[in-house]
Amino acid sequence: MSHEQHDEGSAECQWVLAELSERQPTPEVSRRLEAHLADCPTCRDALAWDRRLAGVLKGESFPPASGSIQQHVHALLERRRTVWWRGIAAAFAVAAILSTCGVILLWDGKIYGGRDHKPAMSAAANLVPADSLDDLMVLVAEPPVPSLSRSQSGWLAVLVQVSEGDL
Amino acid sequence: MTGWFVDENDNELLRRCQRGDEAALDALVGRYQDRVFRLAWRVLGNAALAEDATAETLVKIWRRCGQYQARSGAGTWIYQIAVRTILDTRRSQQRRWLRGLRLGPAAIHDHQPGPQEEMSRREEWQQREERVRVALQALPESDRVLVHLHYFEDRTLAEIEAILDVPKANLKMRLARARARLRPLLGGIENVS
Repeated sequence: MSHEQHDEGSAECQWVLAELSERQPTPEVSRRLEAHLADCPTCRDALAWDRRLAGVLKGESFPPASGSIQQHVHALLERRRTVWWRGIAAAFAVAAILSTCGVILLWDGKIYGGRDHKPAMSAAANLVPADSLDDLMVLVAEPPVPSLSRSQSGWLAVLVQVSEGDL
Repeated sequence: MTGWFVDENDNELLRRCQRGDEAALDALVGRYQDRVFRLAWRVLGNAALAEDATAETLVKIWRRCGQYQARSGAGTWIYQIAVRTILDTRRSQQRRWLRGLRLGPAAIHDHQPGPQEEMSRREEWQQREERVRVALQALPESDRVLVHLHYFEDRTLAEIEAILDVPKANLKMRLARARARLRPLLGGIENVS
């Protein structure tokens, strides 16, 4: 056999070895396989091994399953349902805690208004002499000073100025 | 479509599962648990792990039945899930091996030894089975799946192509390679009639 014939033969053999796996070859493939197998003892031997291997594997026995796969499936499903409900419950609990904290913070006034909020100071509250009545009118818009009335805070500012000799 | 499973009824069972019918799931479990278990055992080599993988497969079928669209056939779709689940279980098994937990394959036969006069025959059989099992363990997991589907379940290459999503040409080459690898390990073994 020449080198080229051997190469062609090898390529054809490779093709045959692959096609042995085809359980439903086309008529054309069947004819080609039969023609090659008639002339190639190596591939005939490979075919015989393929058949033997099929027999060996089909004859193999398997250990029996425990018979409780169905219960196992239902147990897994139940466990996942429980986990799912627990996740929902945990999410609600976290939301409830955060909501409660938010309400407490709002009620305590830490976000809107409240004890720590420092209102903008008018000129009068900063003890700067009022140049006009308009300056004193700003006091009307001031948040109420807890211990003094609006008019009293304005007069207080005036009195302070007087005492310091600025007026 | 082969006569291996009644695809039409499996299709209807999956539709019922989509509607939340657990009786349909039980019917699918009854039909597929043995086949999936055998495939899992082939790959994992351990009966307990094979059962876990089988149960996990059937749970996934229930949870993912909404994704089933009857394009590939119910049996093919179920086997796709089974193969992926079994290979995932195998990877977890290998990671546990690496972490030092010994989860080696269990004995092939779980039953008790028989009477004295059958002992030698049973031992011979067990040795043969062990030899087959060890030879198959020498193949990569994906090739073990392929060999099982092709030889044990008699599936056509078209069916295996759909299950594994691997082109036929590749499957042929892999099967040829698997046969060549198994030959020196199993060459002298006799067929079982």
